[in-house]
Amino acid sequence: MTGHQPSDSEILASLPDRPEAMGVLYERHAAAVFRYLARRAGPSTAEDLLSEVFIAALDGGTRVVAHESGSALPWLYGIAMNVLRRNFRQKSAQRGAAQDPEMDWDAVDARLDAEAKREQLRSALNVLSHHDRELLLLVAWEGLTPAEAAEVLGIGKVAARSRLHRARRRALQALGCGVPSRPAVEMTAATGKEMPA
Amino acid sequence: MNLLDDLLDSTGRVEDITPDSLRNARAALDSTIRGARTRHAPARQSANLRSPRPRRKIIVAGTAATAAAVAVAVVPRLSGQRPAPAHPAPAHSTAVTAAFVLREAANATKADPQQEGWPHAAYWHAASIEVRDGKTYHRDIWIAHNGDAILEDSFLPLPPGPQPVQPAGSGLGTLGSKPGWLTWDELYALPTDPAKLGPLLTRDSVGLIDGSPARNLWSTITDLLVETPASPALREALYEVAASIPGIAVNEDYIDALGRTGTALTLGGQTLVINPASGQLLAWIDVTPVGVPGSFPFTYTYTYQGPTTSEP
Repeated sequence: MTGHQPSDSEILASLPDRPEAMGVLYERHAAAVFRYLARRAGPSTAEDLLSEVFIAALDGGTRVVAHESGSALPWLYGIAMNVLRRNFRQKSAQRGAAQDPEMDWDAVDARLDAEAKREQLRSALNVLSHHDRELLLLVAWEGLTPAEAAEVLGIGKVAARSRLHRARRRALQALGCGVPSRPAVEMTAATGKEMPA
Repeated sequence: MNLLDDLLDSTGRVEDITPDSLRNARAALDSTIRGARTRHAPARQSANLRSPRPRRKIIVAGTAATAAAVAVAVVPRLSGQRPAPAHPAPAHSTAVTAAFVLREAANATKADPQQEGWPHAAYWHAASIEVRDGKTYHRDIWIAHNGDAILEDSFLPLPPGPQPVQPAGSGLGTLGSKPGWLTWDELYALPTDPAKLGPLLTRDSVGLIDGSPARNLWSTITDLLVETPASPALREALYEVAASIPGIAVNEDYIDALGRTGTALTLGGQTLVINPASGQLLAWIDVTPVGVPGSFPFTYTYTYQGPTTSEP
């Protein structure tokens, strides 16, 4: 006989009185949070930061409502993003050199075998704002829906879909893919007017 | 699959965590969990040493007579044993300037389709939570057009259920030259051009109740931003005016009681936590120094703000 398995929502609701319930979330989501960290900072840093994410979640998550999908992962990714930023900022200060605040490019490059591909990826992602890039990667790397990614970034679902579309378009254009022969235009979600991309 | 997806797919593949690393991180978490079970005790002890401070917003409102009436209505029996807020004023960094963050928020607010605001809504409803001593208190306020409000606050020693707050709620901001709270009509009559709004707010932020012209202006802007039906156009202008205030400290890494990451902006005792990418207000923190009459620290973390047609 199997006992009742509490949902993420139930666990989140119980955290203020039962901090040990964070352990259940850890067992469920630690592997995914590790992959999130490893994709952006490499496996070594991800190992160092994994516990920090759940500890920060314990400190900050006194009362949290799960995403409507029922998963606590979008919330945990948001905290992981914050922990990563802080880590990169500290490293940047220690090295005395500017660093991408959300990405260790050496760690990303290590997963691409050809130099040419590394340059292509950078050219595609560097045309995006940090927010749009993170939106794109949350969907592509973490497999989140645009609505779940919207929660991570604290933006609306409609805005997320619109910005994801725009981000993909710009990245593709930077790669020379699907670029129309005439000046590119895009449709803004809010006004329906065409404007230069 | 196009080239972009091919690149993302290639770089998205990472090795899984090893069992040893998984156990090590779990051990660190468990250690923190054990500490979390006991760490509330010192907070209770120190809270007992604090001076009693009723809610600042209520006291600052309007004339002295009005303020006294409101204070009696909302905080009937203040004791000296209020627990300290669980989320004190955040630490600050200087990685970005407040002006940059506020202008980013202004730009994001500009995209809100409700530029004309909500002039025909019956009430403005703001729902928030407050965490004190490990307990979560819920607070809901419904503000009518004339400034009257209904308050339901599980922290305050009120009778159960919604309570009228007379004659004005804690929502609509004040301008120094005008006694009492602004009505919705007065709020919507404010200019949305920062060049016109800024001098108006500066001129009317009289009295220096918050200690300096900059702090007074920041406090006035805070009052107009939190728990009010200010239109996106007005909020955009308020963010723009706030961007001109010197000395605002920034913490980009604030995590609120709901686990959301925001940027905390602090001047004097007032902190706003916002999401610059959306312009959304996440939390409002007031740690007005002890000694200001009728004031105690609070942290409201907003779960909802919007118009409603139904009474509480």
